[in-house]
Amino acid sequence: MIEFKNVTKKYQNGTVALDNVNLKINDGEFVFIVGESGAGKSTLTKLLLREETVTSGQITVTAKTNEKTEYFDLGNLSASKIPYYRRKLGVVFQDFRLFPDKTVYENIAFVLRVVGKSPRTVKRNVQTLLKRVNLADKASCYPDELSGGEQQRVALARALANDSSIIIADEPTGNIDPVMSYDIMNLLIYIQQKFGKTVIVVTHEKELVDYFKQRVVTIKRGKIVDDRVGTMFETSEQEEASGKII
Amino acid sequence: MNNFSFSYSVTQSLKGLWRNRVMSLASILVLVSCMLVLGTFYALNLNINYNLDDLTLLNEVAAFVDEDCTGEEIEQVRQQIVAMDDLVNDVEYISKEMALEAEKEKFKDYPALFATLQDGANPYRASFMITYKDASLIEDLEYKLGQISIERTVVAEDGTESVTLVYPVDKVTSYTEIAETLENLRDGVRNVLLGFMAILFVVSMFIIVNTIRIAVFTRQKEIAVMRYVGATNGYIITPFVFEGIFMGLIAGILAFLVEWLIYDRAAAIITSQYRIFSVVGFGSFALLLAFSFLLIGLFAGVSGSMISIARYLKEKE
Ligand SMILES: Nc1ncnc2c1ncn2[C@@H]1O[C@H](COP(=O)(O)OP(=O)(O)O)[C@@H](O)[C@H]1O
Ligand SMILES: [Mg+2]
Repeated sequence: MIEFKNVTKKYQNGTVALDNVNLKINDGEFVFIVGESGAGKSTLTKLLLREETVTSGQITVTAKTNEKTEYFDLGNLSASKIPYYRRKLGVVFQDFRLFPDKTVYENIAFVLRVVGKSPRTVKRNVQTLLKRVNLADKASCYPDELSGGEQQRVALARALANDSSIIIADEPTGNIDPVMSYDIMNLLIYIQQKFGKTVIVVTHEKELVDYFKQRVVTIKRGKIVDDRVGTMFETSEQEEASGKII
Repeated sequence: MNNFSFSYSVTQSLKGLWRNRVMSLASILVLVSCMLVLGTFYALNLNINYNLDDLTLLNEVAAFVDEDCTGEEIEQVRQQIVAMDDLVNDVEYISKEMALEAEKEKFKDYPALFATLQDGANPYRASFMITYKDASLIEDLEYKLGQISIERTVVAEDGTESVTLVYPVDKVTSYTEIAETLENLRDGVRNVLLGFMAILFVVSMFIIVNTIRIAVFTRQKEIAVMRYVGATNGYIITPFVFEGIFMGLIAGILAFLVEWLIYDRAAAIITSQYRIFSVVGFGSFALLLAFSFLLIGLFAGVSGSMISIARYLKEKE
């Protein structure tokens, strides 16, 4: 479970990116985080990745794997523990962040080596992962030989590699054509349903969100203004004026 | 670190060196030059010291004794010198023969030097080599040596015996002034040596920091992703540290070989042109030199690489 309690993030230049955010995400849940550009969505993911720290408030993560349950209070996480915490998360970015000089296979194998897996385990796991994202035949390709959608699937395989229990995707379809975008989303939902992983998808693509009918958390100017299952929340000027915001 | 990540680090660091080969080579060469300067000054210092010792100029005086002294008289003189225990540390008698042999041994590669000596001729004089306690009392010592006297029974032509007092020490040579000059020179060389060591240290660090910084910079994105997937700092840093270590060690080995070459050349020239100057054999300090060069290389490599990557690994507080 992921829990944000009264989280405020104020950057050094004074920008308040998140303002007293409270959010609870259960294990195995699928959540869209939506909002306009600059609303604070990426800040939320950065805090969760422990790339940034909160100005006030608390973030706790309980990560369950088959063997054990681990509890992390991100405010009290020592620097040496951070890498181990991050292994509980799998992350996907808008710009894929694959290594251009490594093959698809190597891009994924690399993560397994980072966590100290033996060469044999690496080999077996990479093949399984590639099958899972339907790219078994592209193992020896380089990223620039793949379409955007394929590259993002490699990134997704990489995010799944270290058996993380939480997948965080920040605008995963931002650089992908619309048709392929549905593919990626389907894959993310499949991962949530089939493997019981918690999946958090940050996006501002309304159509996509509406299509999948999942839990949608809306952020506006650093505040959570809506949290519902189904279609994307839209604030119009009138609604704001009439004070309907939660 | 397990076996897998060790071999990973080694291959990554070699790849890194190759990818950055121009910079890597440049830093190795700068490191080599620094080490050479250091090594050369060290060798110079060593040789000055060696020659100072060799000429026994440091805290010794030579008291030359009368040619006519008998063995018994020599022993009397020796005892009188030993008795000056407030001034004298050690006394060693060197006979004419011993002095000649010692010189022959010292210049054994140049037998021609002694070839002109007639059979049995020996230009050297018998002397006492006296190690003194306090250089400031050297004049006292010289005076007292001059005052040493023994009684000698002289048989005149007519057969009458008479006892006369002789002062057998007729010349005391101390080399304080030369020694001082040489000591000053040695101290100067040592200071320069220390200075160079400091500079070497700074320059090597700077060079390695810069080269590795470029290596880190070109792999910045890779490092960022490694952190996202939970790589420990040790895992990320090791290839870069190895890269630094490799550069340092390669530089150390190169510097050692070049120093060897230069030194042997210089030694050959000096011994053939300036025979009085004895040159320390390279072998006698080769191990120390190799060890120091490798250590400097290792240290520069490790600390340089750590410095250049540290800021990429810092977590926000
Ligand atoms: N490192 C930073 N330093 C200062 N301000 C930042 C930084 N990162 C983001 N911001 C600001 O915080 C706000 C939220 O940004 P972000 O979380 O990236 O929004 P989103 O991902 O929803 O577009 C924006 O006003 C942005 O300019
Ligand atoms: Mg963003």
